[in-house]
Amino acid sequence: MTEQEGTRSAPAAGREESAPDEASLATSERAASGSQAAPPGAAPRHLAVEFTGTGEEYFRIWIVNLLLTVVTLGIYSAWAKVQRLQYFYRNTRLDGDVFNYHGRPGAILKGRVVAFVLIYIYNFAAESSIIAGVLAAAVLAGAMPWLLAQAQRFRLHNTSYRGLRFRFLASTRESYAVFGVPLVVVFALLAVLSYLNHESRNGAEPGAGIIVLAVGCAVLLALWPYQHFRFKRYQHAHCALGNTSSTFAGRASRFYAAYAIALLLLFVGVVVGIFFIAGFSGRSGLLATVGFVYIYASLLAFVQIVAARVQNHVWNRTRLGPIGFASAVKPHRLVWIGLSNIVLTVLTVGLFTPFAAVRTARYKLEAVTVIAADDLTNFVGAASAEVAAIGEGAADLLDVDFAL
Amino acid sequence: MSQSFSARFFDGQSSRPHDVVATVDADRLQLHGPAIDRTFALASTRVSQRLDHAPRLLTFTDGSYCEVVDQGVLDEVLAATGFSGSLVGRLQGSWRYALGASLAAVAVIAIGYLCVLPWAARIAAGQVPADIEEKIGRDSVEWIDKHLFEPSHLPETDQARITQAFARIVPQDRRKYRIEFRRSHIGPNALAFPGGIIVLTDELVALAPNDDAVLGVLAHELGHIEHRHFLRRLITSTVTGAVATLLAGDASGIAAAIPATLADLSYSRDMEREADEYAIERLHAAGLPLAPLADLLEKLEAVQAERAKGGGGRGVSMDGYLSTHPATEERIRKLREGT
Repeated sequence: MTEQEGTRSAPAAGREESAPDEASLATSERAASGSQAAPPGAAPRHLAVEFTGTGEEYFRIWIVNLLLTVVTLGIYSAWAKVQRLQYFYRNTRLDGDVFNYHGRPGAILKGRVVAFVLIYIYNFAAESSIIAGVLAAAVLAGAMPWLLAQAQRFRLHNTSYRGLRFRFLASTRESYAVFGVPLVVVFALLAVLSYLNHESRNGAEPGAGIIVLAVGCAVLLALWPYQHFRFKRYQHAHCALGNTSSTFAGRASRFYAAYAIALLLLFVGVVVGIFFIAGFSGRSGLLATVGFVYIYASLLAFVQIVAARVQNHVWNRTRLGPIGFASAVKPHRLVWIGLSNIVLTVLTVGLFTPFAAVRTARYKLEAVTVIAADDLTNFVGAASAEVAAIGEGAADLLDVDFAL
Repeated sequence: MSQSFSARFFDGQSSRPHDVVATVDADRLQLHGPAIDRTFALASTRVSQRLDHAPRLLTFTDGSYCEVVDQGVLDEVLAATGFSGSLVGRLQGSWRYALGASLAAVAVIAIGYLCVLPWAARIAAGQVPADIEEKIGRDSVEWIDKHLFEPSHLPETDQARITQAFARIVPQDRRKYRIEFRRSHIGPNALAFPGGIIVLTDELVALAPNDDAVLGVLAHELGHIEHRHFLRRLITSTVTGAVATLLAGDASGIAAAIPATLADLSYSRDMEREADEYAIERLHAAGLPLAPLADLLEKLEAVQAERAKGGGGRGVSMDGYLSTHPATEERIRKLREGT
């Protein structure tokens, strides 16, 4: 058995990234006792990620989760989350081995309770007086980047592959740099908005204020793809498996391209929809409704198209040491999956939800390939303390999603 | 008696897998493989939930673990040691249990919706102190004054007459009831608010054939105040919204809104029935006829039908008394029967 030297970089720096090979490769690896290191100079192996979960199996987990969550008025939701993530992680297979999730329900529950209390305090403050409300909002906004960073750390620390935990290495300062600017801009816009509201109540002319607001919103929207890029870079450039760190070489221009294409299609969709609504609203309620549905579907398609292109670009430019990734999500396929999922979920009064989740996860995960020069067995662990779950709880409650 | 199965062992220090043979012996688990010779206590070994297509994980106290692909053998071994798995795991593991859980979930939600939530909302609304009720009422009237209504154009004499007649049906309790007259932007209407405030629109007064019909409407609104429908509705709609969101999951905000709205409408129909019963009671007590109110409701229906036709088929008009007080055949019939 040849030994690999030194610390080779770790595989995918993602949470659910892992590709099991074709079965034959896995079994032949098992046949050999222990792992074989590929001889130096061998062509890099393309390891496909495999998702082995099924809708039927996940349905059973989902329905029990639902029942217990409702019966316990939401307290069980922390355990339900662990069940869900363990199901998805352990059914994600790369090179014959699976990922694992280690989050403890108690920690997640505590995080959620704290987040709930924070929101309650904010609501209470907002009710009592404007100053208190603004102050509370400022404090929450100020804490948000830290909470989001904590959520990342918690999620990654509790993800492991072949016994090694992932880590999230971005400093708090970097977190504030990424989230701080947009938060300040949004805050400023909200301040302008509430000022305008106040003024209009007193009968003053909104004129200049509206222009400021419009310009502000336009600037925010124009910078959105750039901010998305910064966020992905923040996520992907600061990961580690064991003591091997990730690198990210993405470009903001590709984000703009992704958004532009999707936006064009959205524009066409909205125009068609408005045509339907305007043309038929007087005469046929049904066709007017078609217009609304078309616009709604166009919005969903927009989201999926951006998601597909972003996933591809981001993973193609992420490396974990010498390990590279390739993502080949087809936008139209993701659009189809997204739209059909919603239709089926509505038709089945929600019962299709677990099937939809499995379907989406399978497609997104199996579109990823890990390109490894060796056999992913040479990562070495690094000590890292337990991470508090408060961030994860807050991110949950405020509906922040760190999905693939 | 010992049994063995093969597994892949990871020591938690590096990502190198080790193929081992695991043997269970009394209360210990022994792992043998090239370069691996470990023994762990069974009692402190965590066994992961059984999944159909994923390997089962045996995790040890030092963070190392085994992946076991051959679930059949592992099942036998675990059974022999008396391991039974968690209750949740067993619930999720079999279709029979899972379907049972689905039915139980449906039953819990149904019972909650039909009995528990209305009951809890009634109790909670009853606990709200009077001065908070009054504040809510005042704030709400302020809001509608800003957005829906403007000062009344009804002559002072008419207002005084109605207010005097109103005194005949007002219950003698700690609330201070009063009528606020307004002209409406949304058609003929009457609204009741916590703390004893009833807003009456000029348009509704104009439409009413006589004062008795107006008193009928006021008695109905008194019923809303008496039964605290405003607060109860606030509570139930918040809860149905939250549960609907929980159930709809990530599907869509709109998908969650539909069942929530339907639930809300159903609750509001019940509340209308309650208010009607109270109105009948109060009108009887004051010796007033019920027919004028029924006539007024029929008139309101006719007016709404007219507006719907005239508005170019815009469908259900969202203005007017009937949007907040659906006038079903049943309501009119009950009033005429006086039951």
